[in-house]
Amino acid sequence: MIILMKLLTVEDLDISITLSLPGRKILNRQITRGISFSLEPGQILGVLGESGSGKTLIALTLTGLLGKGVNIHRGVVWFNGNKVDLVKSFHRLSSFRGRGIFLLPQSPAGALHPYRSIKSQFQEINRNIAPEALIEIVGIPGTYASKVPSRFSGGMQKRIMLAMAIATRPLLLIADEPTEGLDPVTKWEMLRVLQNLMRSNNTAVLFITHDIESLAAMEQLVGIDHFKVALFHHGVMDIRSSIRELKGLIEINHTKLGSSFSDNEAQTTEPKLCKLLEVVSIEKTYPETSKILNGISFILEEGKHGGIIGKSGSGKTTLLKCIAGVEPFSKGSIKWQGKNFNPFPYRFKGEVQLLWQDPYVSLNPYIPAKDIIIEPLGNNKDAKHKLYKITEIIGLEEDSLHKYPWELSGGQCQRVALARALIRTPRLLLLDEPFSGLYPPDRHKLAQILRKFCLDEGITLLVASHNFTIIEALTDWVWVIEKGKVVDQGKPKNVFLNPSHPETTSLVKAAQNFLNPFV
Amino acid sequence: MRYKLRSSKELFSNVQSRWIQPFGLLLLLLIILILLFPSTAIISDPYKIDLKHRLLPPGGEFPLGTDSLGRCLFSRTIIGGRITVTSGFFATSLGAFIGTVVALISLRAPSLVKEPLMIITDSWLAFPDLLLILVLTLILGNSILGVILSIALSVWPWWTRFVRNLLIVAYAQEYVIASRTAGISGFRLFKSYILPQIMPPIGSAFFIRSARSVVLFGGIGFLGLGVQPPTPEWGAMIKDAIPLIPVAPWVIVGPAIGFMGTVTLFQWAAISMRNLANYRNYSFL
Repeated sequence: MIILMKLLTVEDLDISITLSLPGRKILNRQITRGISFSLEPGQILGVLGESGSGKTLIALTLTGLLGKGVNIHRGVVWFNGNKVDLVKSFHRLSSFRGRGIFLLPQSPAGALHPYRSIKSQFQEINRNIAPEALIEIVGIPGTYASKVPSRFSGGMQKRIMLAMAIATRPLLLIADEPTEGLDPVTKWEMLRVLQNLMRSNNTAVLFITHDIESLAAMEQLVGIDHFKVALFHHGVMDIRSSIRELKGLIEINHTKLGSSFSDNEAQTTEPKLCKLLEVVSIEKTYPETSKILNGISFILEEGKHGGIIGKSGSGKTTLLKCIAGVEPFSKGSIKWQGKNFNPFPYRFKGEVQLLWQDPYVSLNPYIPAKDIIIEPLGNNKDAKHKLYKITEIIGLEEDSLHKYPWELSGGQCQRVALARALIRTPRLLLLDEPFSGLYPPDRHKLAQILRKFCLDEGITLLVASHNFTIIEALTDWVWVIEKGKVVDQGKPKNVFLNPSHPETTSLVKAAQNFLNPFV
Repeated sequence: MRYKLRSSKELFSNVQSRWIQPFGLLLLLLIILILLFPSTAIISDPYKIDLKHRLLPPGGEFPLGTDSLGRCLFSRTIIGGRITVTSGFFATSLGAFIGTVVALISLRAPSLVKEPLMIITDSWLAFPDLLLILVLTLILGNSILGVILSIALSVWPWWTRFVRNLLIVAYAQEYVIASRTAGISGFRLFKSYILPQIMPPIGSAFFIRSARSVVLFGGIGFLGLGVQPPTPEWGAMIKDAIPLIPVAPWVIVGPAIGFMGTVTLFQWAAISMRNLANYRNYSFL
């Protein structure tokens, strides 16, 4: 009878996946080992776990969307009083989709129809709703409703999906990494909307994420009575009533805004003051859009670690791509070591390395990690020696060097990408949202390793991020950009603790909602 | 996330890959061997006219019977297959080579060269291929070489478009761009980043187009062009057999099975080429 009071009860879920690897090798991997959990209406359960640990598969199981290669061994789901035996009648789960269970997918771009306007996709849910009003709730101007999804940024698409959830009024919302890739301001808005939905509709939420700070912020928002957290690790769920109880299970360094400044300043040795990179009023326009970069200029000295901070869509990634020579820019110039230099197309030949935001898509899926790392060296005889040296510093086990990128976890992928970027000891390393997809302990370990390596080898860094902790852990000078323009600059400490420009103020204010929960 | 739901069609191709494909490849190998060394398979002279043994049914000395001039049909099918299949194969190879070269030029060249080249390619593509081959055969001469050349000249624009599109997509992959910023370029980039992406589709397309070229070559022979008697050729053999069907239906069996078998086996080879790259579908975590 207790089961009937709960909205969702999962008992003894046991799933594994079968991977067929090249060479007819079959790999069986256990994803969950008999997990059980339950949710009451209006309650939120945060599922916290490393990337690649199979959190998403739980979401797909509950919505009945599993494909070939996934085996369910055991498990019973009770949803709203209906019992579903997952082994015998898995397909019955699909009847709950929509009004019952709404899935907010990890990549919203794949979930929205690319050729139809947002408006018509909303009207598919219900003819009588007004899409304009709904997307205004999630902070998007109502006039945008007639546009197609490709006109929106990733964060906006995520919020549109959330607006669809509001229109559907589901009993259970499964949010898969709802805050990934969002800047603090947008992230906070997103969580507020989620909270409103829970309050007004008594919706239960399964919040699947690796981002412990936003989960802590959510706990603050909904209150401790409606909150539960589960640490998902090696296929087992460890359920606690508050995030604070996880202290000791997950370690997070760089705890507070401003806490790591002192050692940064101590490390800053007398710079050689050679201008390595000078960006002079670069402009970049994509066809049919407004200017992405609008006359951005700054100087980066050799051995210095610079940071760029701004909201998503402010042009950070585009700037890095222009510097790395991936994309041409329309106006302005780049000076390399004092001389005019146009890096497009790919003219730096390894002197400037770019670490991509998503490590998965930046690695060649056809060759093992070992070969990916040493490939920039060419026919260097020292390659093997260098490979072992760099992987030891970065902390890659020898075991994973023989795997293909799609067999590695997110953290390992990020390490492989970093090793490839560092193996030739570049003059300048560009980092685009470094480590954003990683589990917090991993993130900070890697940031420390990277900072130390760059100081030892004298590598100049340019970090673009919207994460304050990453910026302050890695850099000693920061530029705040808004709409492709530098609006504020200074040492991270001064900029973040005494913000002078309104853009900085709003970013800092929002970031304060996402502090380490263990302090 | 790359997540793929399997349909029953794909399931069928799995069955194919597990049981039929190895069998098919073995058969293809056997056929290639016979085509390379026909003397091992021929039982009697395919050119010897023996009017005493006209239109004999299959059996005994002649496994497929004899034609209206008393020639052994089994031997003629093998010798004819040698000409038809190898010609189709060579024509496709030549066409693919020309097409790939044009595709590479069109990607590398300045737009002054590129634009006219692609306009020529596209307008060439607009002609129906059989018509084009007939006209080209008349221009290039009525011989095996002439037909091979005209088939190659009619298929190259298709290969240009195909290879060009593949290369554009392959170079636009994010991991290719990432590796270029990491300093990988030239042959190394092509070998381990581009080739694995484009080889499976090119391989399967090659076999599918080869099957088509074999049929086209037979079609030319059927129309009485190309290879001239007494040299046996499947298309010409079918043409000769059609009036005889009411009297001696076995006359058509050899070349007909030959066409069907070649096309089917080439399709299987194409499927196995496609499966070379299939493992990427499983990376959904």
